[in-house]
Amino acid sequence: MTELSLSELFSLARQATRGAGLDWGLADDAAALVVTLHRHALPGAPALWSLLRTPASPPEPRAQHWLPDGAAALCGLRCALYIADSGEIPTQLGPVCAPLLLWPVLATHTLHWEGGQIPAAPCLVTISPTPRVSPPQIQRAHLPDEAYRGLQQLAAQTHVPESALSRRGAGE
Amino acid sequence: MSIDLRPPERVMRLARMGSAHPMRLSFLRHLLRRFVQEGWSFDRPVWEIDAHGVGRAVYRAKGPDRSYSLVAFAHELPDDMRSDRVIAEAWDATFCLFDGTPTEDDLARLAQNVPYQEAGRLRSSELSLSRANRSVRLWEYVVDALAKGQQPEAQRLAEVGYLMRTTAVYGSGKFGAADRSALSAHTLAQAPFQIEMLNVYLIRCFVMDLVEHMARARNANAAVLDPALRRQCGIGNSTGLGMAPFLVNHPRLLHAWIQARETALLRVRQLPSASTAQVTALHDALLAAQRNAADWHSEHPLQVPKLAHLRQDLQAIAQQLQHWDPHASQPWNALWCWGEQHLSLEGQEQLLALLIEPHGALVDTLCDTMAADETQRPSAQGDIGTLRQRIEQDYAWALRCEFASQEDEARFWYVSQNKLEPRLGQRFEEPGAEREYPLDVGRAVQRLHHALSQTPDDTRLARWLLHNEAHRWAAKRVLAHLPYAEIQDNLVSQALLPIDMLRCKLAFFGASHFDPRSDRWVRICLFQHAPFPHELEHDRTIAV
Repeated sequence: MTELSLSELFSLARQATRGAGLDWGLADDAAALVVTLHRHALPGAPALWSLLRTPASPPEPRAQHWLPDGAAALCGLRCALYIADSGEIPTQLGPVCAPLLLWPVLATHTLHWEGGQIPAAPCLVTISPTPRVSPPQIQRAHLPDEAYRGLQQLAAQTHVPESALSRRGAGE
Repeated sequence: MSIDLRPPERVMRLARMGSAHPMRLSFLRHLLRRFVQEGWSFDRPVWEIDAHGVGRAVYRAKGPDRSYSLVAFAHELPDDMRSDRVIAEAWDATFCLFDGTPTEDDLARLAQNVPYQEAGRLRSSELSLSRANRSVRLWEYVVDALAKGQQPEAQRLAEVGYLMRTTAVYGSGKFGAADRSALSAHTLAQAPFQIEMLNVYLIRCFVMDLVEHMARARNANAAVLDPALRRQCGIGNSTGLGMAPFLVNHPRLLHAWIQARETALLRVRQLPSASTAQVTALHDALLAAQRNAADWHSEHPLQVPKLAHLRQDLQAIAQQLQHWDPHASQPWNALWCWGEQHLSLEGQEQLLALLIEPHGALVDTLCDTMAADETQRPSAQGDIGTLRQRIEQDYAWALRCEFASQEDEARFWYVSQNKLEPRLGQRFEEPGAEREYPLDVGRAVQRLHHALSQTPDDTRLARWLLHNEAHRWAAKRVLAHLPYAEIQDNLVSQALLPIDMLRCKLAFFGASHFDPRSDRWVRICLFQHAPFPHELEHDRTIAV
């Protein structure tokens, strides 16, 4: 496990999301979701890592049950952001990739997934309008090695080797 | 007469932001007032430095609800390894600010990490990480003079202004240190950059003790530095592009800072009269500003004419004060309006600092409004019509930006692979632009506005964003709807001067003697002329 401050986690998650090819606006929001999850001792970074390496489709919200259009599962990040943006909350959606990312935007609801445990694979999610009990808040994030290394590799995709041109005038 | 806040389109231009001056709401001034108002005390529980200036020390500051310790490590650094650049790997001294009083185990752990800076690792008990290098021009000269029983020349001290300069002061959450959000129980951390300013203030105490210690190591009867000369020494800081994106990446904070400053100016301008004590304080502040301008040296072609304008403007303000009638109606506003008509941008922003200086009771509580909850995310529950209207109203400056030529988007901001630091590249001359970081607010908002052009007003924004993800970043900035959150200039233009961004932020820190060394890095001074701990209680310059 690697311990990170929450700002380090935000920066890592933001860069990794962008490094995976998503736009900066999604990257900002993904990082905020991941930090909120870890603040409650929930494994947001592994959820993001699994999302970023799995093909997933955006939701096409219709009525109370959101289904993927094609073969790929719904993208948990985009579903979460659409719920936050629109205020629309389905009663069921899925299968959803990284459904844990829905948790931060459903503060007044309870999430249920197939099997009961936090799912590692895409699964069907049911949302009930019963207030949830949130775990107590903590101030540090603990990342499993695989997710940490994976997100670091993606984050590196946003970095650029420093050139002689940009070093010019940068200081003594 | 109705007096309003200065509008964002006037305040948030880089040329004006790059003329900002430190003022009484600046963070280091806030910290000094806090020391006095809250009755802080200071001691030095550890001093284990040898005759070569190598070892460790702890400086402790005790506030009303908790104490903080600067843990300092002093090193022997060959001259050829002394570099201000962020890529340096060794320094004359390294520091961290510790929450509470460190145990021997803590000190042993910190000794294995703090001297290595970015390559080390901190814990949540640490709040800030920093390092400093000696001034080559002054350090040996001062040690030698004191060792000979003499005082250094005041003029030589004034020309530099510090004996050591920090080359980085890392705060919230960096390298494993505590997050700002984890410090909700710390009164000190509720206002911006108080932790970092405390760190620098204690570094100054350490540096002045160290220089005298090294003189005594050469001669047991060495002189101690004259208190007036000691006071003249601040802490230098060398800073570069790493600081520039902060203002773009923290729009809520930038808005809060500028709004507080502009509100302070407004409150003073609205005052119906001026008391004798306030007028005296204004004259005192003018004298201090003139002394500061006289001691402020720069050889950079961008700063030399600005300094000349500032000195002329201070002279003009002094002359205007002879004609100024403090008994007239709204006398402060009359002075301000005169300044807006007759002074350069440097002079106007200096006048702002002068006008609010005599009005602590009226403006100091605004420091409590300068923090911001940056976890707030704007809602996207409206429609496209609302977003379009916001753009056309709040971002008219962005729609006016020209992006027709290569010059208009010649630069791109990136993060360097080797040090993970912000850098500025040339878009059409070097690789990497596809990995650009989003600091091009004007361009992004203009593109968003264009993308909206064929979309009906009643389209729901959330639905539109689902299918137009590339515009999410710009849309969220617009939706935040914070008047002073945006620098209203093209930040990827060839004409951009990053030092203007640095100066604005550094002025809010309370930095003086802004001395650009290129268009992208500067040296400044912090806490120059500020009282040391034993001088706090009776010091009138704090102007509580």
